[in-house]
Amino acid sequence: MVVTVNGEARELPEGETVSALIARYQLTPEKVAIELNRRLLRGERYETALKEGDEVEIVTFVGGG
Amino acid sequence: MIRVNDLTDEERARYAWQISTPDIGETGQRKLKSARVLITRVGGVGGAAAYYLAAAGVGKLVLAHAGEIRPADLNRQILMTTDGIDQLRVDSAARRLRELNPNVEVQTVNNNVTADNVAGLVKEVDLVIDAAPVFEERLALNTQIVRQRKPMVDCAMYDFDAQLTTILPGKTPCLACLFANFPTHWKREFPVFGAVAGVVGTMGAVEAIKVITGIGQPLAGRMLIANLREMTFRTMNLQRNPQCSVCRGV
Repeated sequence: MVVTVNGEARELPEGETVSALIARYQLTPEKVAIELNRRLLRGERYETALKEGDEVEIVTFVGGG
Repeated sequence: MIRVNDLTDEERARYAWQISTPDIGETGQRKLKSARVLITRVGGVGGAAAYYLAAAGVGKLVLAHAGEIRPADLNRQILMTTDGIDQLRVDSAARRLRELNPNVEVQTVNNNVTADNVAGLVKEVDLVIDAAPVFEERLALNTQIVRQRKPMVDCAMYDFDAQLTTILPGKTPCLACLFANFPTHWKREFPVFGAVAGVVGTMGAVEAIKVITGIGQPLAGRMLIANLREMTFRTMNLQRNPQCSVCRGV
């Protein structure tokens, strides 16, 4: 299935969960915010399976001043 | 009798081009003159915010930033000057702001935000601009502004990435809704061009002006996410965490 991740189309295995996607990018959940189809996804919902055409934004919080 | 926030003729002349903003006028300018803003720290981000808020005529700026100017500050900390190396950062910053606008009262604190001073610093002001480079300081400020019900413009950057949100306690998510613990990946030193930090601080000043004067739509409940490498800007809608340890019940 094709899912858009941070604006780029990506081919992912059927049923890939958000947490698997985070792991695929070698990120850890505590460091990022996930937006699924323009809605912020809470950490307890990271086992949600992605679907064809979903749009995911992975935002890493920064703290420079 | 002159009320404290009445404008002088000099101020009317100085701010004429911004007073002409239709929804600002002299009423908005008097609100700016009455406002007190804490900026912590006054580095690449906070220095730009401070400079533009001084230019805009904010009545009082409280600058909190520890230490002396180092050569490596000068690529971005726009209020620090080369001849001020080894002298206090806040002294250089205050001098630059007073040179620009002597109407602004500048109070300096040669210290960063700590658990001991944060409550007192927030108490002195109406609005906070958070430009601290460490999450411990950001979260300490967040806890206090929620406790004291004061707005905070949170400005953050890394490399060419910028993140900006305006926290209105009780109305919007707070920082702890977004991350309960400070992200463990964060390191004190980060790649930064002054121009990038300056964009973030300048946008933070815009947010502060809007909140103080009540115009426009601040980034309340939204986070601006800008990638200045690609020049893309988007906003992410934020949600309050009903179980948030800081703002639950506020």
